[in-house]
Amino acid sequence: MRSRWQMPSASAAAAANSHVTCHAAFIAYQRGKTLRWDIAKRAFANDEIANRMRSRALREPWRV
Amino acid sequence: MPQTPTPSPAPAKPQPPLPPSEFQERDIATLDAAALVGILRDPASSEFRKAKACVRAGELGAKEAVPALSALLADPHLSAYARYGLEPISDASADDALRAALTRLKGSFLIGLVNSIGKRRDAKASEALAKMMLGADADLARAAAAALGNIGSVASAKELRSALGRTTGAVKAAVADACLLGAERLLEDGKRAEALDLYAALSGPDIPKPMRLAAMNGIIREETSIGRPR
Repeated sequence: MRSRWQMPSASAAAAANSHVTCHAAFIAYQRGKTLRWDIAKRAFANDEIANRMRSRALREPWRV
Repeated sequence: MPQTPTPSPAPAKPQPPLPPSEFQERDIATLDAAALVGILRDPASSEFRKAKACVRAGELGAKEAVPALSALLADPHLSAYARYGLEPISDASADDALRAALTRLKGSFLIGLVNSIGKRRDAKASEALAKMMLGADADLARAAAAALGNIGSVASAKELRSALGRTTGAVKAAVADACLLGAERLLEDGKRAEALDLYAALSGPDIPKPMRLAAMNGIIREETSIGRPR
């Protein structure tokens, strides 16, 4: 990047959404079913167990 | 007349190697809450089975498993797994169990517990977290500040503002960072005035520059938003 007005080719939002897609696909694989992802709520629309799999407790002392 | 060659069968896909038998999940992924509690309470269960049972209990959101999970919070090998199980359980008993453990855990296990309480946004823990934020253990103080920021209630915002003038160094930076997070949470909950107050508290010259600039950005963003109250 040469200027602060220049956007990177892969912005932080694009990277985040790419990761979300991969994690959602893996959760669907683990659940063995088709899942629907609600972009606005950032949650699965049709599976509560899958929603509980979205994040996990980190080993101490780490946090995000 | 040329004959069409018969297609040769596709080579079999290589199978991934199986883990040793003691590290295979087997039936745990299909067990119900009562059976999982049985595994967690059985002294003969291996650590691996207990860890998997913790994970499965969290996925099921099984409130019946809360007492068995909270009993493992002090276990040096299973503490993180116990929190893994407790964090997704939406029942208030999980909050009670995590809060009750604040007085009996120490060191990094206590920091992990504070992180989990912050993630669940348990406002009832604000008072205990505020004491930890002002305590002598800097690592615990930083974790407590982050938890208060994520809780994002009016009471936790008040504790963070008060701590800005009573902390120094890395802890003060963590408190300022938590103020930014708390302001975002307040905005999400529609408490705009409280959020702006928290941003304004970060405008002093003693606040680390990155947090001061982020707070200024927050104020400008909110005051110039088309959705602001008029």
